[in-house]
Amino acid sequence: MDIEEFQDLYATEAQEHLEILNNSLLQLEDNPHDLGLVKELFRAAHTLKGMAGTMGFEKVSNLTHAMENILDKLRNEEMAVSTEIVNLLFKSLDTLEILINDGEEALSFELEDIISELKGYASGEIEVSNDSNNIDEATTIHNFSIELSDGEIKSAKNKLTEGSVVFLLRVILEDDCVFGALRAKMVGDELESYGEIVKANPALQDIEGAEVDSEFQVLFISNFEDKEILDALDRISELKELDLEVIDDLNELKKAESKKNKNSSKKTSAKSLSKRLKSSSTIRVDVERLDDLMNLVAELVIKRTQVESIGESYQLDELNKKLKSLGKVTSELQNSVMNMRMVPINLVFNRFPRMVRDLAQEMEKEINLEIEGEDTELDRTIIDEIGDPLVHILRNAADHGIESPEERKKAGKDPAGTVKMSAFHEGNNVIIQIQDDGKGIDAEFIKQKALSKGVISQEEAEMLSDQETINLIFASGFSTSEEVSDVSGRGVGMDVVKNKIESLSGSVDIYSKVGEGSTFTIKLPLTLAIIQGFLINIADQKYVLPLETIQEIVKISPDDIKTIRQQEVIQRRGSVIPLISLRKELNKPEYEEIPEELSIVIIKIGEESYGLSVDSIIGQQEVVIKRINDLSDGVEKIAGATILGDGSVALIIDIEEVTLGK
Amino acid sequence: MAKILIVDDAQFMRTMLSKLIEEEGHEVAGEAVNGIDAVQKYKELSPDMVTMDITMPEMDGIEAMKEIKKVDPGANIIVCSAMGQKPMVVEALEAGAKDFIVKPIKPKKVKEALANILG
Repeated sequence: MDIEEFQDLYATEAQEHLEILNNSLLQLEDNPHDLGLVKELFRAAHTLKGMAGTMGFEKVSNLTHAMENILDKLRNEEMAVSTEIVNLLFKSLDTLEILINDGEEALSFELEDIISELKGYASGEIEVSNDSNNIDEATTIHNFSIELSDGEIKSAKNKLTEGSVVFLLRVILEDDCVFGALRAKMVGDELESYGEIVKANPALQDIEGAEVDSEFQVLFISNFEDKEILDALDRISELKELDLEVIDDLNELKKAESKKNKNSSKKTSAKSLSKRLKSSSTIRVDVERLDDLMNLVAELVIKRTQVESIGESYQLDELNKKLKSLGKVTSELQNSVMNMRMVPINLVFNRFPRMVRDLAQEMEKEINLEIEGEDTELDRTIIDEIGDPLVHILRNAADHGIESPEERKKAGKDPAGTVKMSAFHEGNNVIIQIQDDGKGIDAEFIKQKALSKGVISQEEAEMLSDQETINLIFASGFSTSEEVSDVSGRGVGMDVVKNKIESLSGSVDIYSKVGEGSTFTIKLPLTLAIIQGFLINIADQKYVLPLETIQEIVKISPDDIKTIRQQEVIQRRGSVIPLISLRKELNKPEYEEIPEELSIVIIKIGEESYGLSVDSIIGQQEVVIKRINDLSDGVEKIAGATILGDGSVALIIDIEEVTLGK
Repeated sequence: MAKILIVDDAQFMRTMLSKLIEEEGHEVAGEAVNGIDAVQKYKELSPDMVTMDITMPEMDGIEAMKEIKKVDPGANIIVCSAMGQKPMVVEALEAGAKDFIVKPIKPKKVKEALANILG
């Protein structure tokens, strides 16, 4: 057996364990009493050690071994979690990352230093200073679990009716919750209205006397949906984590049974502020294979459309009927393949807490990172590409956005700045927002800068609104940082960010208010590859416009076209919108004779509407985007190509490019 | 935006609560300084929610809450209790309080309670 074969598998898995280590450590920093996290850290370090040992990576295995010793002490409460320890563990993780990603030879410093430091702490030779993060009182984490006697199981089974299920609810209270028992009572009362409680731990009857420290469990029978129950419980204050599990087999809870044996139960959780890593049954598939499958499905869709057009031109009703149901199947197939490619954006987001923590320390700022919607799913291809632009924006927010604590205090703000990252769906798009409550961007400053760099002319400067001006930071050759700092400088400007996002068929926009902060809004397509297209005809050639941008289609007479500042415009619903001739944009000859009636497609990009004049309209169609490499001159306004049902090729118009500067 | 009635005999608490409530974008409908005052103001103002202190002169918060519930069984009332008042909070919950906050008040907790009740 050649061990080399496993290098890839090792690298991927080691990466996952690194992520777990990083995440758990971050959480441990905030919740130093949570022994569950320590256990998780220990497990991950232990697994990593074993893997590295097998692969013969001595450095990784030595380092994880030293970490394990410390974690073991923490786990057995022989040592308290302190800032020093957390920092040392972070340092170890960084070292591990280098070792794993760049190889054992890549380390530029002595591994012994860090290992002996770890050993020192573990053996008690180095004493942990008494800082505020030390455990001040012994808060024990109760590992409650509900156990049932045979009689209890029997009586519970009798209560089960058609459509009802047994739920096990596990609640973890917020750390600073005062009357824990009363929260348990409120949960119990709420559950009574959804079903019948079988058993609770601690028992709910004597709740007034009982002390509920941090966690309690309730077993109950209900015929409501888990989501409905969770939604209702969500309205009770001070609950940090709610876990609702469907118990398929009550015998699992039989006394003295293994507590971990819950593989057959479904799990849904809400409000998990300290995120637990979800374990679900998955298999690993190479992205390339998914891509192949995706391409095949795309081909299938094309072929289907081709057959459809045969059916239509020969009016074969029988065939058309069958094709319709085939159409359904292919659409579903297409959807499921796309779903397979969808991964939660958390894959990108999860490295940010660590990054922001380090940035804040480095710049001596206080920054809280809030993350929302990390479960939002995006196409794998986009996830792979979106990381760098987000890092750049986040660095910018930390570096230029958030002020120093002193400055913030002076401005009457909370000394700790907040950066909020959120992701959510909006129609066929995913929106990612990065919002800081820092000093905002001074439009006047940007304007002067843009003028001095020649990005805009004096004339243009006078026409620009503040928000338009701020968006100039995306213009190429523009970098606002006076002196390029180590953090966000690095010679890449915001223009690179914008280009990257646009190459993913997305867009980015910034809103900023001086003194209040900035918000970057990134709009990305849910998935690449297949779009709803709108076919139009220009100079006897077919082109595709993305359907989602189209507002309406109108017919106007050439007399309706006015010219303002050399730009042709039309009036729509009381507002004036620019009219863009696609013939002109695509370097096609002008009309030999002006038609009496012009077809105008009104599109909307961001907040702006534009009218595009086209020769004629063909209709809506699903199209598979084929990227065109090495675009030659004159076709820079084309985003790609597609093959239509009749086998002909239609070019997809890059509307961002066409509307640019209009 | 919801209208909220603040009931507390301490000026400091009322000021603090009203600030928090306004920060959350809600309106302080009025303030009452004891239980009797609270019941009367509730009838006058019919607020969307009440924050009710427990220990107050004249009529305590729990009595006041029961009176209010007689007028409006669906009243949204949060009780504000001190550390040692666990049995009273239990009584309040039995009598239909929607939530409770424990003094010393933490802004986070008040905001959470507001959000949970007002949606």
